Amino acid sequence: MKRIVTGAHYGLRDWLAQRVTAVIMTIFVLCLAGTLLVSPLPDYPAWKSLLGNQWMRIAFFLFLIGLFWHAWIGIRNILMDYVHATGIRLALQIGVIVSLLFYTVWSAEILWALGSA
Amino acid sequence: MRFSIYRFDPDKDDRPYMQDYDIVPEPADRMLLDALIRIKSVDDSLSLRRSCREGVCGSDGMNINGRNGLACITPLVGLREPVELRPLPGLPVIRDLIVDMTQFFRQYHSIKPYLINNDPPPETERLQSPADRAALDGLYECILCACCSTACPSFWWNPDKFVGPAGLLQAYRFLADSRDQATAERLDNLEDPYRLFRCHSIMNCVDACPKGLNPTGAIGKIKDMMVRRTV
Amino acid sequence: MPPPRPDVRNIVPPWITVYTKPLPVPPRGVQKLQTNRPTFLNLLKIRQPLPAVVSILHRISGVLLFFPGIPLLLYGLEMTLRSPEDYARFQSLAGSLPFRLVALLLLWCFLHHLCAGTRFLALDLHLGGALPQARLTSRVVLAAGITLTLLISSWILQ
Ligand code: SF4
Ligand code: SF4
Ligand code: FES
Repeated sequence: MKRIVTGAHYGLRDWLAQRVTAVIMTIFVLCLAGTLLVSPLPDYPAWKSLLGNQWMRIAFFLFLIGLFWHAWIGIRNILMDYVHATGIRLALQIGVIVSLLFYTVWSAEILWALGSA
Repeated sequence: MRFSIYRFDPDKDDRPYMQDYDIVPEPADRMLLDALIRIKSVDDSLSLRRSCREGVCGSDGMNINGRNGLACITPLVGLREPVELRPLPGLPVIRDLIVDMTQFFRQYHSIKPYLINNDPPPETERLQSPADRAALDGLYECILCACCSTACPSFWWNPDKFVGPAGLLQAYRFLADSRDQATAERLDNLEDPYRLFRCHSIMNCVDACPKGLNPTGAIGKIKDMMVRRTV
Repeated sequence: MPPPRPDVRNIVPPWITVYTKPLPVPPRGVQKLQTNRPTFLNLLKIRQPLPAVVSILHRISGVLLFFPGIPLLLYGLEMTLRSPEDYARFQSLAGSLPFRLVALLLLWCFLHHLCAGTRFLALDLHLGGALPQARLTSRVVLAAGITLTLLISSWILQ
């Protein structure tokens, strides 16, 4: 008999995290779009000083973390739907995690390499 | 009227094919099932399930012009010709329009579709207030025809792990029942990335349900209960 | 004495087999009698309602935002922040047609993902969960994604 094993109790947590990160990202993007609409950034110094602001930098970094977390849950959902061989699914999930960790480090480097304005 | 019907006989055919039938419906033939029975009187090798012919037994679910529905309550007028009939998607075909529903019912049974109440049974019934009873409207009417689950992409991909809309609607039917005492166990049983959370609110189930029920809404209510007990 | 109960085998038509005992379990190895069971799952023959189309586009746009969306975003961010020269280089790159096409696609992905996601959040809050509303909102979302893409891209280009 082929018994189907289910019962990993993280369904709700991830589902909720996906929605919470979505709301946070939406608020951030709307605020950013609002600022850009009011005062477009014409040149390099303006753009750099916007992201050189410490608070903006932290907000942007949190946005990116939320984005990566959101992406992880979404991509894992897709892999769970379509990829049925456990080994391949695990390998792909590891690939996604590694790339997202890499992106996290990269974004920190981009934002903090700026120096403070 | 022209029909194009999915045929497969495991004893004769290697693979399924579509067969065309032309019939002239009698004036009394109002529903698709009437026409199918007329076709069967011409070609009795055509196999299908049916019983009540009035939408209460849930046996003649099939894919009608690309949409799941019950043949017995689908009016003939308004069907685009040729009427393409296929078995319910995603389930193994036993023969022609008859599918193997084992997987579907296994998921249904997995949610324990019965009242769990450990109190000693009272003299008469376990009474419910009218309001508690009303909480079951839109849930108890399900006839387990599988039109919803076999229209659900998540059920196509993971029929062994995802309970599917029909089973989840019934899961909520017992979660919502004032006489049931197994709320925590039931929620535990569903709180899994596969069993409940394969549902992505696509709403194909609601689109397909011939009884006008809303499994997506019921699934949302289950998620509410989980959020309430966790957060 | 009550009359004997009729044997169920005599009252059903002869072509129906009635089992009064549990079905014999076939020995192992014989259990799979019918092995060739096809499955009908031809996605081109199954009509997908509009909410399902919005949902699958939500998924496709999400994948495109993950890749190449995220790496392109970070790469662009790095380039525009590094130095005034890189900033200028980015600006000239942004004028090219391939860049604009990719950016347009990703912009639509983002906006559709945002609009469809908002609709899903509303559904989670039990807003618009009845079929007529769900159909209507899926139309609105599809149109909003495209309209916003056109509006924003023309605003950027003006
Ligand atoms: S919810 Fe509707 S479509 Fe699904 S099994 Fe029940 S009656 Fe059939
Ligand atoms: S709403 Fe959920 S259960 Fe219904 S068709 Fe979509 S994924 Fe399936
Ligand atoms: S024959 Fe009973 S539901 Fe159609």
